[in-house]
Amino acid sequence: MKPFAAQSYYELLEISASASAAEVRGAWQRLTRMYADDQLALYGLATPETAAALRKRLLEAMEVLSDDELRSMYDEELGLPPRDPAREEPEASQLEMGELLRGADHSVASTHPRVAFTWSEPAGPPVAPPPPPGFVPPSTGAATPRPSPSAPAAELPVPVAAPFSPVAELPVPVAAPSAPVAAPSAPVAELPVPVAELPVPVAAPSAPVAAPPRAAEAERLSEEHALSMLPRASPVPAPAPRASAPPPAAPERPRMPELAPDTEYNGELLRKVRTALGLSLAEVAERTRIGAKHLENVEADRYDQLPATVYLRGILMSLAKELRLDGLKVARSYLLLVERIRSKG
Amino acid sequence: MSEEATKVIPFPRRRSPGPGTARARKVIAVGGGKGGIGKSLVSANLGIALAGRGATVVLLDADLGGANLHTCLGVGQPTVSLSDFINNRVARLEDTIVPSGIERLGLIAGAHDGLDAANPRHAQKTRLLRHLRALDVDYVILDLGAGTAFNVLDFFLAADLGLVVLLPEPTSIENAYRFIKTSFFRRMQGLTDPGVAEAMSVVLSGRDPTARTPWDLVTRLRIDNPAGATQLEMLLGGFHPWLVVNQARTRADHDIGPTIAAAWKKFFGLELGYLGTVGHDDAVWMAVRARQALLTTAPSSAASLGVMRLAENLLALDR
Ligand SMILES: Nc1ncnc2c1ncn2[C@@H]1O[C@H](COP(=O)(O)OP(=O)(O)O)[C@@H](O)[C@H]1O
Ligand SMILES: [Mg+2]
Repeated sequence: MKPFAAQSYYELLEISASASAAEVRGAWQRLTRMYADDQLALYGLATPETAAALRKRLLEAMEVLSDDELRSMYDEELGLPPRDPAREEPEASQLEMGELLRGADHSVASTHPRVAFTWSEPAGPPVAPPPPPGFVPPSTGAATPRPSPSAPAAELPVPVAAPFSPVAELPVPVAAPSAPVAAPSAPVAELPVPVAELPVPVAAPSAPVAAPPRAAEAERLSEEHALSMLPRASPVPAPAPRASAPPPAAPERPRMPELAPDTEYNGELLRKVRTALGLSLAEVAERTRIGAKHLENVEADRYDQLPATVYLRGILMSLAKELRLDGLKVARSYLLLVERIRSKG
Repeated sequence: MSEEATKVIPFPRRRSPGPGTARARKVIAVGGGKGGIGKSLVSANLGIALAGRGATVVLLDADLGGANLHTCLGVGQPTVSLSDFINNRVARLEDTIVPSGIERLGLIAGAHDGLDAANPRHAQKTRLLRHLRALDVDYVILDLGAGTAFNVLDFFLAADLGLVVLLPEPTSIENAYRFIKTSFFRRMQGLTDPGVAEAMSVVLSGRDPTARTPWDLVTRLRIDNPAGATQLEMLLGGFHPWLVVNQARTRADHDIGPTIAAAWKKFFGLELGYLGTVGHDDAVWMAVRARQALLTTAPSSAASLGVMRLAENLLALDR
């Protein structure tokens, strides 16, 4: 089991890898309400910032998992087998953000316009990708979606193991701890009371705690420290040097740029690779079904005009594939740049 | 506090029932951040409910400062108590068990004679726990005192099952989180690998930029200290308190237990179970006033039913 910042989207939303788009949406709605600022249950547990960070991740998870294309890519990143399309909901990819966000937590509502894009199905078998940033390698515990020895032979695609909360009404997909604790079987179900709004207004939490009565060491074991156990938002990557060569003026089939393992894939480089392959922007747009405008912005490194990271990742992966580059590498490298610029701004 | 009193009691091995016996021999501790939240009510009536289901149970009043479990059971102040054992006036813990008036349910009354018993030394705690585990019963229920003193936490952590009682109100919820966090930290002090213990204290103090959570530390240790990683992982995974919500009045109050358990897992990645909810019920204080046990005087009251559900859930954990 991992804290939310390290959980996969499935774990975050407490759903199985085979959940339908409707289930994804339902889970997101339920959890967003559950972790609203006025929730009594959060009193003394999470600061408003931490709760907001969680809701942001929930939103991101919902955005990705309720979009067929993004979800397929994400599954591939996780190493999950492709889903059975027969079980999928038809309107899954038609999801309207406006509808989803109605009555929800607007403080974390995505301000990015929904990107109208679909891209061609990746051909060929998925290559086992390296874990993308933000994922925790499977060795950290049984909570990773990959089957681990300590997870009792669960069906492969389910990233969550048998719950052992005695509450039947809570579909908490508690990951079986890789711990020695004898996971008890689920006891009797209790009160199927539906989620009700809590009218209790709660003052901002994070009251300091009386440290345990012990010398220096125990003194630090206060509530703030407990809260500091909480992971911060996504780690800011180490800055990488920016390539600054001016764009070549001649459009005549330029040389393929050098691509070292540590090459930074900025828009300019991507454009060079494209032109070296003799592809026009329109051609790539046509093949990837990514809007030419987006491609242009990617290549021009206009980070402020790019869509939300979750969509951008998909765009970059498709584009990279068209350019015969390693999609994960390109996406990671490019997103680092974006992140860096955005966090400065 | 003396050096000795702060020593951590070794984490107990869970006993598997001996051959031919069906005994769970489970030690259940009932704790919570503060006083007056129903720890004694839950302990006493949980004991009655389990005994009513055929289990043999001993209730131990471990509230070393404010023992009153006997009152919740409707028993007068017993002549023999835990202090007799702690002060070696009685050699065996069994000899301090008095009848509770309920079949299969025995009581070890709380200490009443002053500071000494309220602050047992490490050796005394260890001896008490050893004797507790040796009792030939299905369940031992420890009714803990209020607060987060190490004496309280150590009994909580030494139990096979730690219940945290809370009320659906901000102060109590805050206290419950504090209780759970502090007992978690106390548990982490039981790490025997000095390297891991040191690394963990750095993580918990928030000074380690590479490991923000205990789980990050497990990942990192895996590389150059696999044994330490495994030890830590076991310690983390084995930390699994259970919530009991008491005095629920509204529908939302009934939801709060599962929500708290889920939120704790979400934010900390640590286990927290939800055992059940007991409703607020006038039958409770009426029973207290009449100095009768709730389950005996008002077995069909809402609060009694709530306690009985707790008992069923506990029994289900052993199935
Ligand atoms: N479910 C309940 N409904 C009504 N009153 C309750 C309930 N639980 C506890 N109380 C009241 O709270 C008082 C304190 O309970 P007690 O079990 O002694 O708390 P603790 O052991 O935590 O100090 C009881 O005497 C009773 O009057
Ligand atoms: Mg009490």
